[in-house]
Formats: sequence, C-alpha cells, structure tokens
Amino acid sequence: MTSPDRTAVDSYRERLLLALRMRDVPGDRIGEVLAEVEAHVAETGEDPVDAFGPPRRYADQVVEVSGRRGRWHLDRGTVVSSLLIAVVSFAATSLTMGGAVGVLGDGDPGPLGIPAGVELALGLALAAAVLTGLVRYTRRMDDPVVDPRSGQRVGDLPAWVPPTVFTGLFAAVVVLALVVDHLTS
Amino acid sequence: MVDEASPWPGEWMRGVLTLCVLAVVDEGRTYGYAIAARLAEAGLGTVKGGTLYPILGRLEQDGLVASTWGAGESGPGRKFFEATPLGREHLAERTARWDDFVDRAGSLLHHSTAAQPRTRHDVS
Repeated sequence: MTSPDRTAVDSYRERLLLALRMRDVPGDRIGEVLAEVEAHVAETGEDPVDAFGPPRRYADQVVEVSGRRGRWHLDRGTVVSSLLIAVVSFAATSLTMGGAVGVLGDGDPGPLGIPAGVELALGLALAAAVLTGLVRYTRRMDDPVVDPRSGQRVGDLPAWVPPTVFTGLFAAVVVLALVVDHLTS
Repeated sequence: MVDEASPWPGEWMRGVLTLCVLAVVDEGRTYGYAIAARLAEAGLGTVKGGTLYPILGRLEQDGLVASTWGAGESGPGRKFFEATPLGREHLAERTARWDDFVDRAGSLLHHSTAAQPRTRHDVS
C-alpha cells in the first residue's frame, strides 16, 4: 500500500481545519473529522483531495450533515462583559498613566486630587483585575480541537500567549504615555 | 454527493446509501475503508471517503451507530463503527418498508412498460 505524500496530508489537514473553524463547527467534531481523513488516506494510500474533495467543499458537506451551530451572536452577557472590560480597561490605563507621570514627574496630585502614588497603585490593581478577567474570558471562549486518538490538542496557541499579549499591550500604552509626557513637558 | 464511479444514477444512490451503510455496519464492527470495500463488493460502485464519513457522522449523530478509535494494522489508527440497538431497530423497520417500496415502484414500472405496446395495439 503506497502511503500518501506526508506534506499533502498535512496541508490538507491545515486547510480543512481552517475551513471548519470558519464554518463554526465545534472543536471536538473538527478533531474527529481531521482524524478520519488522516486515518482513511493512511489506509487507502489515496490523495486526500481525491478521496474527500477540496477542503472547503468537504467542510460544507460536514456542516450540511451535522447541522450548523449558529453563527456567533451577541447575547446580553457578551455585551455587558465587553462594555465592563472596556470601561475598566480605560479607567485602569488612565489611572496608571496619570499616576506614573505624577510619580516620575513632580509628584503632584493629578486632576482627581488623590496622591500620584495612590493613583498609580489603583490603576495597576484595576489593570491586574481586567487582565485576569480577559485571560479567563479567552479560556472560556476557547473551543479546542482535540485529536480523538491521542487526546492532544491540535494546532493551538500555547497557554502563555493571551496573558503575554494583554500585558504587553497594556505596558506599551503606559510606556507610550510616559514618553509623550516626557517629550511634551 | 455521490461519486461518478457508481454504476447507478446519483439520485438512487442518495436515496439508499445511508441505509446500505447502516446494513454494512450491522454485519459487524467495521471501519471506513472496509465499509467502502463492502459496498463496492455488493455492486454499488465506489463510494469515496468524502461521501462515506459524513453519512457515518449522521448515523452516529442520530444514535444509530456508535464509534470508537482503535489501533489499525498500520498508521494512525482506525475509527470502528458498530450498530446500536436503535440502529438495528431502524434498519429492520426501514428494510421492511424498502421491500414494500420496491414492490410498488416495480409493479408500476413493469405495468407501464407492459401496457405500452398493448395500448398502441388498441388504438390501431
């Protein structure tokens, strides 16, 4: 039995994974479909496109059979938590920027009339809270693709990526504010 | 979607393939490639993976078959399928109705082909 070209199978798997994700197929179902394709072509030696058709068309067939899970929609919980995250992020960034500028500069209380050190501490506390919330939120929204044969997650970002990205963005905004303040004063 | 390699009209295959796949699975624990081989051996033509697995997925979703992953002879494992009690019940019921369906459609087809020459005779 001839074994199909490894790179042809890998490339097919990648394109099918993306096509199924874009059609909002649940992660566990995607894992099953990918494993079926891989096992079948390993057994028959067929080219995946010959056996299953182009990835996007096969993804359509999978959706047609298993019933589409609704396109993502805005429920009230999502709207409320997004607004909360936006408001708290804004407050955290403003307080941290104002406090940092005050502490590193003249030490005078800012427009809020509270000491710069307190303002900075409050800002950082809020930032920590919103970052923790964001990381939890992305974990909950996460719908991993799991290979049914090994139980391993397929093609996912490592767990450290979201916290690092959020923290990095926040730090970049604060540093930018300090630079702007330094250049303009 | 039914493959062009089938000797039968596509709409016939679409109508009967799901039941035939269930019948093959009911013969005993089996897997994708063996199901396709059994269908070909039965004279139904070549059924590609892209047609077969969505049918199996639908049968599983409807609780008519159950699947488990196991080791294959080589390569990355096999997905094995078995008929559930509900699947066997569904197959028996549909098979009985299928016989009735084929009888009725058959008698209509035979009746009309047999009747045609006689009609012409009557007219002339």
